[in-house]
This record gives sequence, structure tokens and C-alpha cells, in this order.
Amino acid sequence: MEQVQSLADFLGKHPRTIEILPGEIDLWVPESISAHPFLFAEGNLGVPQKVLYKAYMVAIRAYLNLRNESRKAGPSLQQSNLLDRLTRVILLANPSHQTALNSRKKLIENSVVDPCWELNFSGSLLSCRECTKESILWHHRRWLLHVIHEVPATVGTDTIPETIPPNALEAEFACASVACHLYPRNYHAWTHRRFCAEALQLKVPSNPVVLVEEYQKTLKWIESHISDYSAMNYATNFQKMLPGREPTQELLSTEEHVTSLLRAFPDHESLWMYLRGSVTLEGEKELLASMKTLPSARKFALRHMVWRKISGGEEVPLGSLRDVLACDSSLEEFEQLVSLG
Amino acid sequence: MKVYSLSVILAPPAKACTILSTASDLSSFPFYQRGSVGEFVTFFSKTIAERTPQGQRQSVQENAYTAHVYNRGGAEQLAAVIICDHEYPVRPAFSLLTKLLDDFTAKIPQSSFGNPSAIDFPEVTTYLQKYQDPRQADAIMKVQKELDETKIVLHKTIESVLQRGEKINDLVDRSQALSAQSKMFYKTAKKQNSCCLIM
Repeated sequence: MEQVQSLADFLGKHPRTIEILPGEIDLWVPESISAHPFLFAEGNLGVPQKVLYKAYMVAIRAYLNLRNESRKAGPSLQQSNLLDRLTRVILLANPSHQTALNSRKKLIENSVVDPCWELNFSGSLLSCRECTKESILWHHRRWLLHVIHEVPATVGTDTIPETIPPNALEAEFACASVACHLYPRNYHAWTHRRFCAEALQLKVPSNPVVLVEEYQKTLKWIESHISDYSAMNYATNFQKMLPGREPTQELLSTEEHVTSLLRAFPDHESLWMYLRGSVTLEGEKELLASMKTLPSARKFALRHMVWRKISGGEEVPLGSLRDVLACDSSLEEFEQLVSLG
Repeated sequence: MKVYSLSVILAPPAKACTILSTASDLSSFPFYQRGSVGEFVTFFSKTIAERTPQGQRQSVQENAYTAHVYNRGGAEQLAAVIICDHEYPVRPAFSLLTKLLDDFTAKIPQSSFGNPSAIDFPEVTTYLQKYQDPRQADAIMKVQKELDETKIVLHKTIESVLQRGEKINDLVDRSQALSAQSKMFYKTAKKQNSCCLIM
């Protein structure tokens, strides 16, 4: 229990990043350091895996007992404080523990935990690689934003409140961006980012600079992560929200962006999916003509042409859409399909 | 797409290799892993360079990483290694290695190879930053004569680079350059067969 308390203390300090370190304690933490059995340097918390799981077993038992005891009368203040500390540890070891998250929501509703404090805590959790892929943690974060910005309960938590100021949104973008770095192709982080972008869009007249910056950051991200389709989908959706919607000189359209990327990396399938979402009919002709001649890209180009036909409402005689677009169709089959029209 | 490290290595045949100049960018790794990743980058660069015959180009995949090595041999007995992720394309990687070796031999006399710590070759850091975007390498690819991709040997695991009877786990265990923490990271990553931790 001592270690649970001490870990809860460290988690309450809002560490910048949290890492779970493999193996035994003595490998990592000499007994002489003050944070023993944890590492805490420059705001980065390191928790040896074995210590964490032992603490989890203790915390989860105490948590269940406490819940049973306080079920009828509701938790006393002392019990609430303990619930707060136990659930911090439980969530680090098992970030998909919905019951623990719900307990924390209750603590916030009962004003035991401050929602802004909790937002920081959630930010710390989401800096731990194992936590970034848990959709319910992201949902918890949106719920917190609703509480902080006093949104009526009738509004679903899959939207971000319009009343949220742009600088708070920037914090959300930053948090999602950290998670994208930690866990490649992080769908949940990009989805969270999309909800934020939609909220930001409603504020466009007051602050278009943030929008443009976020858009440019995304394009830059795609250039160095050409398999991250979640990011590409985000970029195509984002473009539709940009003020004026006309690409200007400094602002590349996703169509230009994907075209230049495909010329450099023609054999990356995600980029071809990006193309589907971004390109117009006129734009793709020239690109496809040159891509068809490249051996590594020929199949993708033909597949794209078949997709274009079908999405244009043309009937293709062979099988369903799914069959035609399945990755394992052979080059000859695609060639046949394209030549039909 | 990410280049983690670039190194120029002195690789005399059938002898231990020495790293002459190196640069790495490990900022994308979590705080407590960086030191261990750094040790592994050095360890793998040397291990692979030692097992690449002179004149040969090899690519070795290990978990989420690919190491490309070009042992140019010749009078200088130099090899170069780049460690990057799988997304980084092969041709720019090898063009960069060739350029790195050319520039290194042009600037650093062979006589100073004996004292690697005194070698001043800041270009290695510049290249690491510049060529994070492989499209930057288009220009050098045009200058260099056609690279025959069919001659590059691709290994899907590091085991297939090792000599008969050698095991990577033994090499890691025996290595004195790797700390106990680094070995633990490596074992965990192997066990989970995951790309989340070190090589």
C-alpha cells in the first residue's frame, strides 16, 4: 500500500511523460535515490513494470472493497480521497478500466477532484505509450472539456464545445500530437484532433491563424509519416473547413500535396487512399498517366482507375465493389477492368 | 519516415570495427529509453558493418527498423551505416551512404583514423538533419551513377547476417557496451515481438 500511495503522489505531480520500464526495480532505481522505487527526473516519471503490477493488485483490491463499503451511503470525504488515489494507479496499469474512470467522473461531479486538475492528469496518462491507444481515455478528456466549459448534458461527448477558447484547443492539439508520436498511426488521437478541429472551425472568423497553422502542421506530419492514413483523412477533412477554401500560394491544397508525395513514393498504398479523398477528376489524369508506367505503382494506378469508374456510377461487370478493389486482385484483372470502359 | 543514425566506420576485414564519426537523432524515443537506444544503435551499426564483406551493400530489417550498410572497402577500408524506419526508401539511403563516404575521405586523412575522438566531421550531423526528407537525396542520386538495386542483399532478420553458429541474443548478452537496462529493453521487445521498444 505504501507503494500505491507513493505512485499516486507522483502521478498527482503531473509528470510531463510517463514510461513503464521493463524488468525489476534494482535494474533501474538504486535504493539511494529519493524517488525509490520510481524514477523522476526533469518531470519524466519512470515506473518499473513489476512495481506497477504489484501496486495494481493492491490498489484494485482496496478499490473494490471501498466501493462496496461506500455503495449505500456514498463515500465519505476520506473515502473519496482514497478512491481518487487508487484509481490513478489502476488507470496507469490498466487504462481501459471503465469502472475506475467512472469513479473519477463521480469524484469530479462531487467536487472532490477539480476538472482542470483532472485534465492535466489525463494529459500525463496520455503521455504513456500504453495509454495513448485507449479510446475511453480520449473520451474521458472530451467529457472533462464539457464539464469545464459547462456544456449541457444533452450534447454528446463526441463534439467539443464551441465555447472552448482557442488556446485550450491548442493544448488539445499538443496533447494529441504527443500521442501520435508515441504510437504510430494513432487513430484515436487523430479522431480527438478532428473533434477539436471542428470546434475550432466554428471560431474561424475570430482566429483563422490557428486553423492554418494546424493544417500546415498536419501536411508536414504526413510528409514524414507516409503510412499514417488517419492523418491523411484528417487533412482532407480539414481542408474543407479552411476559410475561403481556395488554396492560396502559401497554402498547399491536399490535392497538390498528395500528387507531389505520390511522385516521390509511388508504392505506398496509404498515399493512394489519400489520393481518393483529395483529388479532382482533372487533377488525376496526368498523374495516373505517368504512374501507370512505373512498375512499382502500376497496380495501384489501375486500381485507382477502377475505383474512379465505380465511384462515378459506372457499372463494372466483375463482382462487387469489394471484390474488385480487394488487394489481391492481379494486375491482369485490373488491366482488363480498366480497358472495359 | 525517420533516420535515427548515420555512422562512418573503419572496417578492416576479419577485425573489430571502429566508429570514426557518428550522429543520431533519438528525440522521438521516450525519455528513459533514449540512452539504451543510443547504445543499441552503436552496437548494431558495428555488428552489421563487421559482417558485411568489402564492396557489398546490405539492408537488414530488425523489428521496426532497417539498417543499410555499404562497405566500400578500398584502401581506406571504410563502411557507412544508416539506421532508419521501414518507410525510408532504399535508394536514397544508399546514395546518402556513398555521399557520406566520399565526403569523409575527401576531408579526413587516413592518418587520423587511429584517433577517432579527434576527428572533426560535422557534416554527419548536417546530413542526418537534411536527409530526414529522402526527397532531398534526389539531387545526389542524379550525380551518382545508376545504383543496381538487384545487387543489394536484403535480410529480413539480423540473424541471417550473422555467421553460422552466432546468435544475436548471445551477442547482446555478451556485449560489454550494452548496459543491463538496454539488455532488458531488448529482451522485452523480442518477447513481445513488438516495435514499441528498442530494435
